[in-house]
Amino acid sequence: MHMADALVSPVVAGIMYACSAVAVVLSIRGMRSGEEDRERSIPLMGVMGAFVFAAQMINFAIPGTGSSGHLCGGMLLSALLGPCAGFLTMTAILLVQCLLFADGGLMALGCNVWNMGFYGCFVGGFLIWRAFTDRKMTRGRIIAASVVGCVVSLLLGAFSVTLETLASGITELPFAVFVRFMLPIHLVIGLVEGLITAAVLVFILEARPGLLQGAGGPAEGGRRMKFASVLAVLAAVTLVVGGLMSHLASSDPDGLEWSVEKVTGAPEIESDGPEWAAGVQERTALLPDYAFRDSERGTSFSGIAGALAVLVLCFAVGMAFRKPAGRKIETSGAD
Amino acid sequence: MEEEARGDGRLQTLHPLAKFFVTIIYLVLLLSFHKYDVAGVLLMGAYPVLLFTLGGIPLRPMWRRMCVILVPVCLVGIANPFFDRTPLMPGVTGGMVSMVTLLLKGLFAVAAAYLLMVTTTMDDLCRSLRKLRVPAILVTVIMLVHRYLIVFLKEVDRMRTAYKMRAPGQKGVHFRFWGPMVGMLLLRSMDRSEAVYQSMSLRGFRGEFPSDKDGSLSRSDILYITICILSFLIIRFL
Repeated sequence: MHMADALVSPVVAGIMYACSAVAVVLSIRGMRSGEEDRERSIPLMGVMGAFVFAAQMINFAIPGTGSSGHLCGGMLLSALLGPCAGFLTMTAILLVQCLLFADGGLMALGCNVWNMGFYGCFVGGFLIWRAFTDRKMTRGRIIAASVVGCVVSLLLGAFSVTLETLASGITELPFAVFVRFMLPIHLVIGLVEGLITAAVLVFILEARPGLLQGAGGPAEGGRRMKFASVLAVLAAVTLVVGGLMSHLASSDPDGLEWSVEKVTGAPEIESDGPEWAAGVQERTALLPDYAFRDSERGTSFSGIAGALAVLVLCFAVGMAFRKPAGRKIETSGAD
Repeated sequence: MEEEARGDGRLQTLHPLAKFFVTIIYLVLLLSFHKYDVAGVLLMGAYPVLLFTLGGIPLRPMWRRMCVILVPVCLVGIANPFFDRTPLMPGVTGGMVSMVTLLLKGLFAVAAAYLLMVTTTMDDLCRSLRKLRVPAILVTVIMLVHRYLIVFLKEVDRMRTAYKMRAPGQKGVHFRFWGPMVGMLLLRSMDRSEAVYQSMSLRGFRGEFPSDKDGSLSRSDILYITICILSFLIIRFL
């Protein structure tokens, strides 16, 4: 996925350099603040960078296909060093690849750092890795995190390559064709990389589990939000989206209505079903079409009321299916 | 390439910052040419051609690097003749011209970057980046990656040879050994990094490698920058 200089214009290259530079500065600040810790992590980052570089030279045979894949490293570095140190190491690797091996252009370095380093380390190695392994670090979770993380970050990277190339006005390929060409290939590559990364991380889990981020000590620069704070933030976002942003919803027909209109000439089809069903719905629909009855107003109220109704329902279902708390076994001091 | 960069040719003795600055300006101006401006892009090719000739730099190692970059450029550019049929001249469409421009830009951009690396050592380049206020931690990591790269490449080569001898005729590494093979290399890397940190600390490492080289530009460096940038601007805008 290394982009050549010829595939970007100076403007796009400049923008991506700026984005990557901001990410680099934030990563440096995000690393542990103690001077000794930062000094200690520099040789580790340098050696790990060289390791990933070298490991990329190993070709892994994919059974049944006759082809091979190789390790990329963003997700792996992030799982071992943390997303910030991992991102800085990936930046160093990409720069050395660009200068020594002409793998990726010098002007396109900002794009490559973003497409491979940022998505690999922060999306795959931070968001997805944490989501899967935060509570528990098991083989299955590591495999799932690695595969999902690598696939998602590679697809995001491939999509970004498409956008950057098209924004530069380099190719006459239509957007849809370009995307249809790039994404399936990178889906397969992501799967292979995910499996390779999973194999390595599972080995590390069995050999030295303390090396994995989240397996032992606190995550790099991490402050966990309290559950109540998370709920409060989500509630506020729901109120804003349901109460205010619902007014911004498009009045155009949705995909299904559009398709029906194109086929039949009308946005809705007359129902052949039992009349009693329609009657029930008419009586129970308190806010038909997301508005008060016989009025076009009530969109905000509908958004908030709907969100509250879903919350109450989910809570009720969760309470109904919750595991009973383990009984305390009381033991007396002496038999 | 490092050996070539340590030579005492005219290009090798120029200040690394001067060469880096000229390369960046060259790349920006090269990429700014319109997709139909083949003549302008061809003129920009004079810079790498002149430097290869004046510096006596061999071309063959560059062609191998060229292939790595030109394949994806070709794949992107090959669609242009099919989608852009704007007639520019009898028998020549805009798509054909833009494809040629794209290939030439790719060729000259790789040549310019290669010239920078074959005439400048990685250590000198990193010191120049430090002068441009690139954070010390990033520059130090780049230097360490470069320094230990060869060590690890040799180690991987030994591991691959050992595996091939135990599994002759097998293409690549079997999936049962993906984890253990790379995992062992990883564990050795982490142990090595601790040893590296201890030895660096004993030698007074405080987060950055100090430099004893003088940082100022000489008259020949300033003359080189001026001539190159003026030439690029003339080709680009006149």
